[in-house]
Amino acid sequence: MGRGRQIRSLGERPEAGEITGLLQDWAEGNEETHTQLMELIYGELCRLASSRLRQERSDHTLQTSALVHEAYLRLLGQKQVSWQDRGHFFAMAARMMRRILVNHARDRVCAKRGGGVEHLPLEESVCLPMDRPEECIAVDEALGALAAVHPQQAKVVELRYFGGLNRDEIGESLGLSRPTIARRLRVARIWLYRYLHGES
Amino acid sequence: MTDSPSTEPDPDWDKLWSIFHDALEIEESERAAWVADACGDNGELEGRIEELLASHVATDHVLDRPPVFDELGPDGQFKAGQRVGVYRILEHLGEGGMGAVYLAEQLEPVQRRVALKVIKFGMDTREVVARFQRERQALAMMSHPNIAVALDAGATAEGRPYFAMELVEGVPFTTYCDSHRLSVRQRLELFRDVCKGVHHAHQKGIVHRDLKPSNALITHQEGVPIPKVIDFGVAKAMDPAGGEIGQLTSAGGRVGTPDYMSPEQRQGAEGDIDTRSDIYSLGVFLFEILTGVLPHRSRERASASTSARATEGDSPTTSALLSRLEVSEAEEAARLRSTSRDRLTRELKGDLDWIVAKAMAAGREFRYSSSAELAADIDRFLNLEPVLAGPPSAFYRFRKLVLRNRLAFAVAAVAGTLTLVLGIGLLVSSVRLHWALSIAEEENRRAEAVTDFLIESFEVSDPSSSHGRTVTAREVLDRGSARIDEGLASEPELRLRLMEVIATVYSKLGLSQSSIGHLERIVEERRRQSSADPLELGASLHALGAELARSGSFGPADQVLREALALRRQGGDGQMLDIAATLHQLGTLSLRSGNLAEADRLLTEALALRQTQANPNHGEVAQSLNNLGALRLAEGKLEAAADFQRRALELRRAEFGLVHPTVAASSNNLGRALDRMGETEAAASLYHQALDIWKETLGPDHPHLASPLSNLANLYFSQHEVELALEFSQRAVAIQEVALGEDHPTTLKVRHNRGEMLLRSGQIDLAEPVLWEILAAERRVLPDQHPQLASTLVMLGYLLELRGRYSDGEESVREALEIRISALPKGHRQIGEAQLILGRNLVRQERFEEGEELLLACRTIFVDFHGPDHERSRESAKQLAVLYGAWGRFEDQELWRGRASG
Repeated sequence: MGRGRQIRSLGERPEAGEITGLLQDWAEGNEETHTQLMELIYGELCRLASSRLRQERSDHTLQTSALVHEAYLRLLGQKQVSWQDRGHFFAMAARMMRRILVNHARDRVCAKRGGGVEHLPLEESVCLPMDRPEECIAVDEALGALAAVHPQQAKVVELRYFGGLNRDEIGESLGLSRPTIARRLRVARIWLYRYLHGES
Repeated sequence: MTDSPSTEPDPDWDKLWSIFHDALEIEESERAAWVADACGDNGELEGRIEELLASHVATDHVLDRPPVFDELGPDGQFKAGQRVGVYRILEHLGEGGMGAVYLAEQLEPVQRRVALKVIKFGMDTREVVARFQRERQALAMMSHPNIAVALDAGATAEGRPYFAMELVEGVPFTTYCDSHRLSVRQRLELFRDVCKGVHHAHQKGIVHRDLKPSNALITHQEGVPIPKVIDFGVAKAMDPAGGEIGQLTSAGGRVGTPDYMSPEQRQGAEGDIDTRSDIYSLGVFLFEILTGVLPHRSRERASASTSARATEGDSPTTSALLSRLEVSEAEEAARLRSTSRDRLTRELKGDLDWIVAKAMAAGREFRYSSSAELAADIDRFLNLEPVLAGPPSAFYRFRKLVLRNRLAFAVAAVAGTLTLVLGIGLLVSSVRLHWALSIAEEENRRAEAVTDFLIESFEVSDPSSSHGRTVTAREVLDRGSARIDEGLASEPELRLRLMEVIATVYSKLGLSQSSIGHLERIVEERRRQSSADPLELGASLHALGAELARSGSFGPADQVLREALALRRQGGDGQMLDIAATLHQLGTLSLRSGNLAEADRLLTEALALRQTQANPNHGEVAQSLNNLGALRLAEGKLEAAADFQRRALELRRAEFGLVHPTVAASSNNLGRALDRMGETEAAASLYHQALDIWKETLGPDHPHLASPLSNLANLYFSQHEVELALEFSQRAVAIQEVALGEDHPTTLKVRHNRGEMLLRSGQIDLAEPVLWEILAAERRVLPDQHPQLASTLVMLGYLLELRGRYSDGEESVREALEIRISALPKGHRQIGEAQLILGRNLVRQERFEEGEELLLACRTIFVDFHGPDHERSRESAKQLAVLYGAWGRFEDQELWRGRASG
């Protein structure tokens, strides 16, 4: 991995097309581009989340799927992109979305524990409306445990829960059929339920 | 099978999952039967599948709840019960241009109901909240039956800005008046109260910026209607700083409501908006409640044309507008005012027309100078007295009046400046007195030159400038300073003297750096003069040293004063009083930098010189006694301190009479000594005496009042009368802010004390923004090494530590410690204080070695200074015990715990 690489700051926009090249590089086995891609997507998602919050719109929604799709459009544009590239992108976006959400949830929980009235919750770079930050962290941890036994199922949940992707998009990302995705989601659902409710 | 969450061998495993997945494809109503059928006679398998199905369809599954949500419901509103910051939404009250208003309940730190105004997106929330925070303190000081202020601002989970406001249960002004068919007189009575509320805010420096009838609610208290102006603090926070033109609100307009905006506000020049802009809005307000329509109603109301029209300033009069209305409309307006159309027209014609016109004058210099003046004119109208406002033809006379007043102002200002100079001369040293008097004794030509110079300087400034006296005076001085350079090149001595005057006034305004700059130039020029009189140079050096000392540059001050002293000593016996003055300054400086032995030597010598004069100046002797008293106080020799102060007080009473400013000063200082001795009752009485005398001799707003007010605040604080203490300290802050400006060093000191009280009374949430503001101001105003800056940094460091922000806290205290180490003598107890706090912080960060070093160092300082049994010595021992406990060095822990408990 390219440790010494200069990481782009959050405000800086990647150049159009840059990411397609990176995706192809990576698909061709250049592992170094992986980190770079992740940072690009992470930055774009953060930027989008903050800017969406600043705009006024009556139909305002802030769903993770909307963010991921908007990031996709911004980073890849209307270019013809192979389905593998598209799938890779979604997989990475979901992973980054998870990172953003969990970080944010942790900050929120910390702030709560820190006590006192929070006058300026805007100090964080991204401000996300979260009802139950503890739950988000719990899912993250449960997914970690699930990944240890069934990495494929954990991946599906990550794409669904954190990435907000639908089954077709999940299928594209993982190269699996729709029924397989449905089955994996069902099993993961049961597994998560039991894990989180303390059953084996 | 990779899809199954178990690895144990199970004969039914594959079948289990296969049936489970298939079952989910079946309609729910038929599912159970289908499963039973598929399992055949395997009852155990059927049970397990049913369990799986139950977990799968569990209703409260995390995966059915996306991690982020929309805080607004489908109707675009918050739901009842929803939390916004520390508030809980109870009810949606209504929609305004900028957002929605809710009835909400504040949950902490106090429980109360508030009105919560949530602004739509479209503004930079962080900026809005920051702007609000800047005004917060001023808002908190407002208290008037006719106004309701914004209490808090923050951001919702999604980042919408919101304001929590004092809840007013009432109806908008116009609605109330119309539904009760209030007469013109009744409306005016209510409007007058609106003006009074607005005036109160203006006195605190708060401009509303969005005054209109819908922002004045009428409430009923014991059957009496009371108007309350709401939204104070909101518009300013919403308006972008610097007045960027084109910054629009979500409603598509500039902040404020175009119909009520003054021309200057509509033009969007931020620096130009002052209290008179509110007066204009009040004029429109009055127009509307009298006639039922807005002044510009008869014309096109497109924003561009309104803008142009208002600048022209030809608003129609109320009565003229009434005659322009459709008959039915005018009759309706009259009906709502319980009168007839003709009567209404007659009632409005004349005085009321003029009052409205004066309030709404396009040129703000023609408007009422204050909201109180407008209220007074309404009163005059109601009492059938002639009103101040006159018909347009009287503008000429009015202008004359203004011009006359301006001249009077200029004369008063010159007199004021000279008095100021004389006053400072008295207070600082006899040298200054000689200078000041010598200005007066200059030959006629020169005296005239000085007077002309001052008058011209004052004339170029605008006395009604919005930003308070400090800025205006500063402008005058800056201009004056430039004029001296240009105009008086041929009069070097006069030029130097005027520069001295300017330097003194800069100093009085707290603009130390400008003052020092001038004094340095004076010293430089005197050094350059071939015919230099060493005594003149000594005098200039003395003045420079005094100013450097005042600004906290103790090192340079000491050096300069010592040079002055040497020059004056060479002057021989004739200079005894001047020598004493410099000795006094040096001694005071040593006292302030904590070098008490040196201070003792110098102050005692100064006193001796002053006392042994054939004809001693009792004022100066008292000054020496006073500072020696302060020295004894610093040494902790309280009896001796009280003794000196008592002598000073008696001397001053004998010399100046019972009611004299210096008598107040001595009362105040004696009070401090007694206060420290625990004689709080006597102390409080002396403080109150000082307060009364100063109030009588200097006026109720004089900055000197801040000292006894602060002392009373501290006294009450030490008696745990926190509320009373905070009230007194608030008065002290208010006085200083008005008299000297927010950023004057003296104001900063008082604000600083208030911040400390908030912090020490545990009101951390209130203290934090205050301390950050103070820090920012101190960084702007004070020199980098100023002890007060260090003290603020220590407090902030402590607060951040309380907040668990250890590394931020560390940074803050470390900076303080560095300042103190370089500015104070080795072993000063304030160095110990900073070390104590920093050490404790490091212990929390488990950086034991660094912490140990600091705590041991401060322990040494405290024991040397106070002795081992003092509270600070014990506190440092206690922290050392904590340190060793956390470090696992339990023997040391025991040892220090023993020392901590004595």
